[in-house]
Amino acid sequence: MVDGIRDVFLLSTTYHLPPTKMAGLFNLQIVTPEREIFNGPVEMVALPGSDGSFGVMRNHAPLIASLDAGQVTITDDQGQDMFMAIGGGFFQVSDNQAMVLADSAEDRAEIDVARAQEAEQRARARLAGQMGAEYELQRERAESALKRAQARLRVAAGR
Amino acid sequence: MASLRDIKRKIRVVKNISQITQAMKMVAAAKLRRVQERVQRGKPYAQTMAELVGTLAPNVRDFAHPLLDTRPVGAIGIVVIAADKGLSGSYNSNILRLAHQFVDRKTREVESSGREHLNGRQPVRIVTVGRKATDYFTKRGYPVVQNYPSLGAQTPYDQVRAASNMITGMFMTGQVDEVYICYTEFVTTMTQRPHSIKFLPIERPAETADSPVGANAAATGGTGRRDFIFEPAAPELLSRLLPRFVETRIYQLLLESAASQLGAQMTAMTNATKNAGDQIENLTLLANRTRQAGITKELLDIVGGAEALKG
Repeated sequence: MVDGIRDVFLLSTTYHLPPTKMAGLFNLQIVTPEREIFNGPVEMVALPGSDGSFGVMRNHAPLIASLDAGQVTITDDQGQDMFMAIGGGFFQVSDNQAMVLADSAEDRAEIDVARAQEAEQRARARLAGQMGAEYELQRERAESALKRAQARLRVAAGR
Repeated sequence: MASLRDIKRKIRVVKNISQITQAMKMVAAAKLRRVQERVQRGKPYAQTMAELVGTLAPNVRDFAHPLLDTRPVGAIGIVVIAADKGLSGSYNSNILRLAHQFVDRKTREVESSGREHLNGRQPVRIVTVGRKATDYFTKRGYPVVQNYPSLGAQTPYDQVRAASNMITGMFMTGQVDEVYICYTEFVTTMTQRPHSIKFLPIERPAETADSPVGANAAATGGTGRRDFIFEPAAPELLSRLLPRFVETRIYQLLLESAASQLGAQMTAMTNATKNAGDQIENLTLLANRTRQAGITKELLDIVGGAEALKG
């Protein structure tokens, strides 16, 4: 697939694909510790896996993956694309039930661009400042903050 | 004896108080409902999180993670969760009394048995949540290393994450060897129970010895267990999952304590309203008796005067 999206459209041997032209739908739920931001039937979802982006369709083999900060693209049952920014998390799918556990998640319309820009600046400043082994933890946090901010900005800008 | 006018004034005051406590009770009830909604909204995440840990743990062997690190105990961290405000019955005093005793007991333990593991560190570090807890411990000269405002229905999740990062950071950088949390369990709206629990290191997820290791293991076992693909491999996934798992747990404890406080406030305000009602009743009785006494006295005067004229 293009853009380095790895092909993980693995078909589970447990299921038989219905002989229809449509790929079919499966249920997707996106939740954060605070709320559920999506729950419904979708045709496909593309996710920012930490080992590379991947897409999931109906009858995907059971999978647990970790996610990086980035863009989630949902193709819903009407064939419409929706974009969300997530701040890293986890993904689980089995029996056509998919669940995204996101650290944070926002719809494109919800993203506060000014705040994300500010966060990006702050993270860059922090990364430029402290170095050395004792700052390892802070550096990791600043890096993930930077990734989150960039993911938000990318989604808000429509990539 | 108080004059009729004094008593009537007092009745008015008590009536006003009962109106205020009644209103505060309603506010607490509304807030409690919002906190409970927040708990509900967080459930899918927390449940799936626990499920994931449960799925992953059997696929991992000899797993090491900074959050599971069991060390000889020389220094400990204690997190105390109370409220920012009072007016919630014995909520704050119950949790603070428990926390105080707990801190003193742990300090003695660490000082008597953990001396050789201290390595120049501070034996006890206290992190407080809620202004009442902060005030309580700083006033008594305890080392409060960090304090946070208590959680409400509106508090952004980032604040929870910041607190969680601070607490796990304290453990992972070796400032403390164990972390305990004192919080209040929400039993019902009427009953809340203060508790202290060991929080870090995390209890090791059960590594089942009988199931073979590896992603393919589950398929052969075949009792409803699914053959999951892991990306990245299970140990890597689990080590990424654990910090979030801890964060979710802290979030739950904070929410539960917040719910307990509001429950306690509701109960306290219900009682206050009831007491005000009782007082109004007693005062009304007293007012009537005073009025009657006045009338009787006047009558006696009149009768006395008439008798004197006759004579």
